[in-house]
Amino acid sequence: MSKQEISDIVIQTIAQAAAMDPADVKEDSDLIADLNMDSLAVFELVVDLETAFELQISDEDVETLHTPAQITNYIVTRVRLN
Amino acid sequence: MNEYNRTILDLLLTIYEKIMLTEEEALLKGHFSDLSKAEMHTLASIGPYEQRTMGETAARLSITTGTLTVAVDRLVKKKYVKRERATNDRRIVLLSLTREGKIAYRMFWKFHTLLVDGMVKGLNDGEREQLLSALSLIDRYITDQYYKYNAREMQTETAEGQDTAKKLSRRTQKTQIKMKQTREKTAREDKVKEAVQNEQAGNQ
Repeated sequence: MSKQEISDIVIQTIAQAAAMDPADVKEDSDLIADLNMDSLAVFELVVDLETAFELQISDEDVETLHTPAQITNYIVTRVRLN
Repeated sequence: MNEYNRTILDLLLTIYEKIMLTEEEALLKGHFSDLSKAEMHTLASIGPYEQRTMGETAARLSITTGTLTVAVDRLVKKKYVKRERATNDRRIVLLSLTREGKIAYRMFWKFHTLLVDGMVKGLNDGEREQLLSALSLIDRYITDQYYKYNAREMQTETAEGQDTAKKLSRRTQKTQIKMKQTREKTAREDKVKEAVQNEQAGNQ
């Protein structure tokens, strides 16, 4: 899976969890400050990303992921390591 | 009972009771208010990534499979748990969490993380280490007492239960080693900083 394909899925999944249009989700949008996601929406996102990419994402890692770009880079690294 | 012992006992009982009450209140006010505290613990004992048998899950919760069946029936109805038959042996029932179950599990875990963060916030590194040592000593003593009074339980204790106790003991040791390493690293860094400062002061 290419980085662009991963990014597309990440944006789509974030838009779904934040209940907004994917076109309004920018690569550097902050999940909480810009997209108004609360902790419940963040956990919905994490669970959906785990399912989409067949990964396990620890709480420690979740704490370091704030933007779609960071999430995409994290998943690219994890998918390659797998 | 002297005053010190009385205070320790009161504190332990009060802390336990208040953690349970806080858990209950947090659940009632949160998104998952349709889950009881016991149901949330059932979700936690199944875990977000595993498929567990009824026997395993009951052992982790220290309840009978009969009691668990009632709880699982409710959780399946509320769509937090999936129940399916093992493909290789149709007699075995496997439990796993649904998407909603996994989200609830994550929220529950986060609640506990924040609770512990808050509890140790006012403590320095040395005090945190002392607290960990004291709590693990208390845990070891209470576990011994439990088995002393419940010899039958010790003989029939499942591999799952023994595994959980061993894991806790290993995790405590690992945390203690990590804290010691951090303390030594900080001491080394402080020494280097001090040497640099002394050297700079000498040059001036």
